Amino acid sequence: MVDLYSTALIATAIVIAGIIAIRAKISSSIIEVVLGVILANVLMVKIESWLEFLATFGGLTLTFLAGAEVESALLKRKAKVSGIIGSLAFLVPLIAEIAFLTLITDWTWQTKFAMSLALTTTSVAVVYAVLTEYEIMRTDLGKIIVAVTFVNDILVIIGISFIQPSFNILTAIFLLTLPVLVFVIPKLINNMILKFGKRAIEVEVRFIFAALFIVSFFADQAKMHAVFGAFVLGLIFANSLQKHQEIMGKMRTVTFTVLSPAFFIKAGMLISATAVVQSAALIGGLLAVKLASKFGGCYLLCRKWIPEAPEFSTLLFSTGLTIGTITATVGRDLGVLNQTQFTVTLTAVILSAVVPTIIAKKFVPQKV
Amino acid sequence: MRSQENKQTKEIMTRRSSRKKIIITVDQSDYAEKVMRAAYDVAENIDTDVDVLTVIETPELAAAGELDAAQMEEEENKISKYHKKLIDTNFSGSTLLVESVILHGNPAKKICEFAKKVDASIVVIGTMGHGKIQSKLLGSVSDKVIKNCHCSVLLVRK
Repeated sequence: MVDLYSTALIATAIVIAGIIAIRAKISSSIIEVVLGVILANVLMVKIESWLEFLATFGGLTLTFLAGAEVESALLKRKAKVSGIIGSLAFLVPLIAEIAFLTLITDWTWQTKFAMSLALTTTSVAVVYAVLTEYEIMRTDLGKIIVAVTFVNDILVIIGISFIQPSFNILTAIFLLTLPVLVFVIPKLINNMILKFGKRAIEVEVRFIFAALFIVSFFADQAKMHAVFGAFVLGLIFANSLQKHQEIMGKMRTVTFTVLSPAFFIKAGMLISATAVVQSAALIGGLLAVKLASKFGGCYLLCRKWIPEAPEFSTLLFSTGLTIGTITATVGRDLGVLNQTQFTVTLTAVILSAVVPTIIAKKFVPQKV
Repeated sequence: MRSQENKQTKEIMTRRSSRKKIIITVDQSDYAEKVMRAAYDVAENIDTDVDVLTVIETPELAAAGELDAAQMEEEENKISKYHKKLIDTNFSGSTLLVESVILHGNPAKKICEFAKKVDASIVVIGTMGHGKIQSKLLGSVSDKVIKNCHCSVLLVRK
């Protein structure tokens, strides 16, 4: 029997998060996490099984959408710059955070790796929002910055499979199947749209969700983790869906009405308010290490290759939100992060969406 | 002949740079027509150049999927066509220079920043006439523009 009291409270929280997000002009996901914290820590609402399911579905769909956003043509055009800076933006903070955690904690390698991986992300959406606000999105500068964030994201998603690696023959089979999927799936979706598209029952959207669960299942069986499958599927669909924006619109409607709020509210409900207070110094330390290491890893190359805005670019690479939250959630689901470690990681991830963005806006290039 | 043409061009450019400018802020509601008509009267009376401005609201912080480059481009094309329709309907036959401008971000902030950048003399903006609760919950762009804009603001009521 569904607990209608919890359900009503969560549904109300979702609406309130939307309104506050519009008012404050920030992502509703941050507000959803905060309301999740209040629901669990103040109102003592428990995570129901329906919320678990919707949150899992939401995490997969968000990862899929992240993959579908990747512009492969842009990556090819800016391969050298994005490949090198993106790799450094991933590796240097990863190593720095692991080193920091090794110095001050006695946590296991897997815990430190999962936490560091979540903190090495760069948020494509945060970067998009800032570039769009300052009308830099379509400039060469904007394209390089976006390409770097794509590379960073891709490396983090691959890294998730290494949190608890247990690769086997199925892993090899799954990886070998990917090129076949790259060829087959775009043809399938195009046929689906031609034969069954533009109807009320939205067959093409159903197909995408079914493909999402099927590929995620096989990725999980291949020990690559379900989110890896979701991201790869998004990458495969990227070109096809970018030609059919109405389908992306419908996917977003489903995702942002209920799936994404469920994901972020559940994440918030897993946060311990006490742990946030007790671990404030550690959270601050992790954030500082992220900022410093992103600078250390990227700044000099940004000065060489993005001379019009090296500080601005480096600060944007220091942001993180959705993929960081997904990585932290995976760590928790795998049992690698306990509640305190998850709390510390997620709080640092959210702060990394806010703090570098505020600072970056002081360094917006005037002429591009 | 050429020096005469160059002189004329220089005169036009000087005149343009010293002319007053008004900004008409529009959304895609039916109400935008009323705002355009009110702005036309003002612009014709004081002989100004006009910028028809729409700010596409984007969050300052966004999560994955909330912003999409292709979707934004589609939105911009739609608004560009809408501006053209408004300009053709309301300013056809006018000798005023009327341009379309599309920006992104926080609408009130962007309107005020743009007005300052182009040294506008008037911003024409509509008010949706939201109820008190809705205004309190969602905020009012026109209220914020009135408070923060450096120049005069003409509020056109629904």
